[in-house]
Amino acid sequence: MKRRGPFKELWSTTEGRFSLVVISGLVVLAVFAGWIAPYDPYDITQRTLPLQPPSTEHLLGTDGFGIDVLSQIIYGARVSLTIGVLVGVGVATIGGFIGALAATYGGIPDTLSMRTVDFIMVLPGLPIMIMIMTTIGSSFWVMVMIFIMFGWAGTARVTRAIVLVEKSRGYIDAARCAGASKLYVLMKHLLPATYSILFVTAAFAAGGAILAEAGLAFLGFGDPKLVSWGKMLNFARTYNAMILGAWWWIIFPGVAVFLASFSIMMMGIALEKTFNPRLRERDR
Amino acid sequence: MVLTIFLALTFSFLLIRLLPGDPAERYYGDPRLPTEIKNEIKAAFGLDKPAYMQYFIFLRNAAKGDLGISYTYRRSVVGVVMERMPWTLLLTTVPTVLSMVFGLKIGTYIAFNRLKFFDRFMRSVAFALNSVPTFWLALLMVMGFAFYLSVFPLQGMIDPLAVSMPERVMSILRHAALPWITIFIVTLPSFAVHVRNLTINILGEDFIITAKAKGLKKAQIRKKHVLRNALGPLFSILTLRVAGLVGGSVLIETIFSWRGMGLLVLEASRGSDYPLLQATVLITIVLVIVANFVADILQAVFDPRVRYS
Repeated sequence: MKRRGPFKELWSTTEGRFSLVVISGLVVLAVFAGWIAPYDPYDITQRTLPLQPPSTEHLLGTDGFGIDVLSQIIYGARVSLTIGVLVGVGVATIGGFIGALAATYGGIPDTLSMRTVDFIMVLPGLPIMIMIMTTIGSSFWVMVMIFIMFGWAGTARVTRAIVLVEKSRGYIDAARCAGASKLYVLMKHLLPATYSILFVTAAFAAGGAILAEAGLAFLGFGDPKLVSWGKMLNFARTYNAMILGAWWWIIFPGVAVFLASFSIMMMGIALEKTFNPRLRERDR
Repeated sequence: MVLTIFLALTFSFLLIRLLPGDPAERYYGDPRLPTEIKNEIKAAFGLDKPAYMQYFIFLRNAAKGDLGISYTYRRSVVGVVMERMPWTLLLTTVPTVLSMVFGLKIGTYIAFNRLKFFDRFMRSVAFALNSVPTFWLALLMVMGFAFYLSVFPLQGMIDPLAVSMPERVMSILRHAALPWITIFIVTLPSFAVHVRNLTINILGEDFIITAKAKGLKKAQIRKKHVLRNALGPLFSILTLRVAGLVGGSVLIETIFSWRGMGLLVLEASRGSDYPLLQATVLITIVLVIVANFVADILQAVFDPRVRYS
């Protein structure tokens, strides 16, 4: 059978189709926000009457400052998607690399890194993130760094387990006998074996990061200069949108967060299925 | 366990030291204070000593349960945090225990009776809930049940008009109901799915075949063999979720104005009350570690196999 390209393979699963459509839609919104959004949420002159319910002029209504909710959601996709991508990539690279290193070298580096992983995994993330952001200030990059800091541990653990299994296979011994150094074996044989799982964990980390960003922004720790979904919800709460009856100000940003995170996690499931076809059989 | 707490202490010490400016200045607030008084305050807090000495003093005091004085409350931070702790425990433990109990029932039931449709449904819900921002769900719950339907109070922990003891208890229960329901909804499906996976594995074991061969009734197998074996591993799942539950209470407490430790973290952060912030976060970490420890012990109690490995 001819091997299909990765894209087609993904498209063949229901999850893959759903996530590809939604994610590419969100990416288009984020990239072309300036053309697609009916109003510019950063432009003060484009503000109108506050708290207008959804209408033809403002499809999702306006918030308490008279800013178009739809436009804010479109612009907010930028923050969420960038954070998702950066954290996903960061977590997969750092976690994958540390996990693979720990498994190949064993001994002290192994115990040291796995102890660190255990330590990070029991930490309650949110309060510590708040403490860090209170002390060193909240900005987009601080957030990305903190999410990677808390995220890599799980990936490292999974990667280490996979590399340990792979290491005991015959072809690794063969390579070592042929005179390959540990580092060479790591780069050439062991790391490639983990790529599939790294893509999957990257997807889940990205989905988690979008949720975490929304949570922190909701608590008021978002980047003060950027429009984001979590921040919209934060303003909705502090300006009593509920009491004012502005349900559209509360519901739509949350739907956006859910859709973005859900489609990326779906992507993770679809990747899992394409890399490991046995999962597909089991499901039926 | 001790090492983890020690690392957490060191980390938080370093983080607070990284802050720009003079800690003593933050305490007295007014820079026009005479130098002698400034120095006196510095000496009182040990800030005239070198950094490594401060670190050891900090560790020694922490071991004695002293984490400093709050800038805003002007009293021992540990005392302030301890007052809040029961409220957070009340908020998180009740729905967690409930969803563990119901998760055990539902999970074994699904796997045991091979309910295909219900199984799929439960797994999809559990997966989808992973992507629902919990705080948003809580907001929707408040909007629906408290604001539009007025079934539950909008926010807070207790009605100030409730004076007598039974009245107060009833009032607290009424206020806690909605956050409890929210946490319960979020945690139940994932517990049920975990139990379902565990049960399917257990059902493949030889002793189940033996039990069937002995002619035991289904209900007996479920009770004696499946539930008993699923209980232990369930606690190991709990250890993975404790950190998220306690950490996530910051969001839940914010939405329901529940004055627990989570809300205290935010208060301390907004008021730049660093000792209080540090103490709250540290005690939250200790709480999570202790909860993990308890879950480990419970696992060993219910699953003797763990004790030998």
